[in-house]
Amino acid sequence: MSSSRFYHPAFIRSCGPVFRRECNRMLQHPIYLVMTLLLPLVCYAFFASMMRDGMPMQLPIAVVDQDNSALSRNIVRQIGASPQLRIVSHLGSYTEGRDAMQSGHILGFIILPADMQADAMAGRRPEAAFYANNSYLITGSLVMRDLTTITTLASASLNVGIRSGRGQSPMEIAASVQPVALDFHAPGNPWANYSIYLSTILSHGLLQILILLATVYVVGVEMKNGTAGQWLETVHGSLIRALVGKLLPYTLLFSLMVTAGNTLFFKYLHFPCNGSFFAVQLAGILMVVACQATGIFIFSLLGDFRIALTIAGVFGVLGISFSGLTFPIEIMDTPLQAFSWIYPIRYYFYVYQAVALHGLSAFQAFLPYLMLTAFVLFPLPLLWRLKQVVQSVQH
Amino acid sequence: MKRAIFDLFLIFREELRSIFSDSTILVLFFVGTLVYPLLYSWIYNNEVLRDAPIAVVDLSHSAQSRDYIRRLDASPDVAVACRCASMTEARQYLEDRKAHGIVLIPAAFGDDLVQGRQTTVSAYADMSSFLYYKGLLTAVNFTGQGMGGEIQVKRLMGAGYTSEQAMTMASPLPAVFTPLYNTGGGYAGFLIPAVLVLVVHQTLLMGICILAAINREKNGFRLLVPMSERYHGTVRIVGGKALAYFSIYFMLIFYVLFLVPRMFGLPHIGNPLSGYLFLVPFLFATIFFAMMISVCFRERELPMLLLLFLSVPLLFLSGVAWPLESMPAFWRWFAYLIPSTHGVQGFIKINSMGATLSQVRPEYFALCLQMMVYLIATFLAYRYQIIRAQRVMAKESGILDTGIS
Repeated sequence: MSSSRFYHPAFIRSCGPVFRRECNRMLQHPIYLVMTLLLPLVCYAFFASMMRDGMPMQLPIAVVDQDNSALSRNIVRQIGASPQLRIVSHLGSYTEGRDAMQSGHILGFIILPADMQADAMAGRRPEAAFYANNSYLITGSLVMRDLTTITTLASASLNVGIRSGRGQSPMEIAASVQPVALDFHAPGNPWANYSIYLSTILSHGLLQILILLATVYVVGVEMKNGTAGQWLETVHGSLIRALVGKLLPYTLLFSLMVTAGNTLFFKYLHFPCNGSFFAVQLAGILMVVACQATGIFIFSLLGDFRIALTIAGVFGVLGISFSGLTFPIEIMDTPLQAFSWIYPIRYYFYVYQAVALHGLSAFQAFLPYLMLTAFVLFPLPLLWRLKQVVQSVQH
Repeated sequence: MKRAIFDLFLIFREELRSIFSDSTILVLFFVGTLVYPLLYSWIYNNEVLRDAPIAVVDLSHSAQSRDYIRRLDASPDVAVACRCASMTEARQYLEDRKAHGIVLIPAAFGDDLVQGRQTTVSAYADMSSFLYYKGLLTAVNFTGQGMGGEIQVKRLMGAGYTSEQAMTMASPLPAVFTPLYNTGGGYAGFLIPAVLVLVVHQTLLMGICILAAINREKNGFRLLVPMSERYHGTVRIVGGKALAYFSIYFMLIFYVLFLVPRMFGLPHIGNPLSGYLFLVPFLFATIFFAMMISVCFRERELPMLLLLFLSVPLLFLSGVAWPLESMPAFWRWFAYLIPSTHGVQGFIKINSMGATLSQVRPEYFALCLQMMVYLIATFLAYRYQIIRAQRVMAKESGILDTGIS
């Protein structure tokens, strides 16, 4: 059967009876609407509300001020003024700091040594030591970044103090204190907003788990309940029609969810999209279909409802890692890199990078679209097996 | 009393039998806990980003700009993969993923530095991953500050200061950063300990719910509790089942939470005994939490469908990526209700940070509290189920005894 026939109006119309049958089934048991509407919406709401600040603010840290001079108090004040840090305690020693960190009260601390100001003025270069907890890598590096900035500025302002005492102009001071300045750009995410990294892809990563499981479930439940024969008879035994008619309601609902999610992120929360919104949207809908095809592929390959459901779940959960979002695929071992290509979410993320971040058009980034479409073909050679399974249950 | 212990033992044995006779449960309990940790450790094996390829646009072509590029290339985070003539060309590399960042050195770079003016280098990060962003930012900061510091010292020495005086003037108050715990700053060392606890939590949760649904599907009336003489005492049923799950997971966590971190060089500076003592209430809290929820499931496929999905949100709610204090109050309180939140927090503190049991007291108490509350809830839910089973049984035998309650 040539694939062009799938798009023929007569073919779609012939799937109608199964489509109507499926819609009726969906209204009879709450689980269908829970997995197609409730869970995706909760998931979008979760990510959108969870990280509405973009970056975690007011990270708790402690100060060990052994100097208590004008200089050390000034540094403490700078730390207190930083929106991302919050001084929760003043401690006496390194041991107390480490203890507070182990108990989870603070994420970092800084030690301003005794006689710091006197030493700095006398040119003895006292060292300020600061510590951050890397067990929480993200917050640990945020604490490190802020404390680095504050201590560097403190050192530079001492430097400036010395220089302006020598009568240099502000321009000259800037040039001597920082000969090489930096102008850092983060295209597509100008605020280095952590939420943008995670929400957009992670929520669709969860959606792909749901689609995979839902696809296997809705087919398998017919066999489990012994209604598979009736299902096939609706379209006179054509498995292709039976599948298209059955899965189409889910395609529509999940596509609606992808649209809702993208609208929430790009239009309502104004996450940057340098390219076309519709190009990202198209990839999202293609991903829904590709995941459904993958679900059917897994079912046909394994031939058993329970095993297929378990494997689809295991496969889907790993998709979060293999999307390449939090941890770049390029750093993984080669076999894993190869494995990542069988995930629809990987291509969706590819489009997101190319279109939303780099501002390319869908034509420039056509390859992932092509691949997502190609997923539809994968289950076709195995459908005879699925038909055997369905019919074996019938008897 | 003797009868009760005998029944409890029978129910315990019966539960073990149903665990070992169902392929889905076996896959979840054993393959899941054995294989997932291995897979995740493999995926995040090369845990730090080293030498990420970047593109450099050198418009200056001076000795100074070449020095800058050499220093940038030498930094551990990035490697100069291509030198481009223009930004357009560099952007192409970024779009083709051959580079994950661009550094633009202005035409006046060399002259500025020679004539003592401030010069500005521009950097553009690939925002497709947090790690690329962090790598480029670290590298350009480090290079700019290093080169700037040396230029300052050189100039001051040119003006007649000794090298020591020059150093003092350039950086009168140096700051030293030391990371504590997971000192390599690795992604695996940060993520995997939390994932391991979640693997235990999620496989138990789904497994127990599936087992309950299987029980319902087995008997004709979709009852959770079989209609049998032995299944009368609620304490016996809840106790027998919980002990069956506990005995399996008490052994499994030795592998998941103690062997795996040691096998893969993940942080494990904690005292294993403290770890085990902490995990006992965690296991019981999770088991009773799961048994409480399991009452709702009537179809064995649904736990997988609804609970697997939770894994990623639960990882978030455990507070490893995002501190619990920074979450909206609603989600924070929701997180406190789930055993995995306290389990992850406490385990990371003990395992990765070497905390003692007294330092994880809040988590320990929270888990003990959950254990008791969820035990009572499970008890009540099962009690209700048993009463229903007895009603059905009474109806079946034709004697509707209204006195049973």
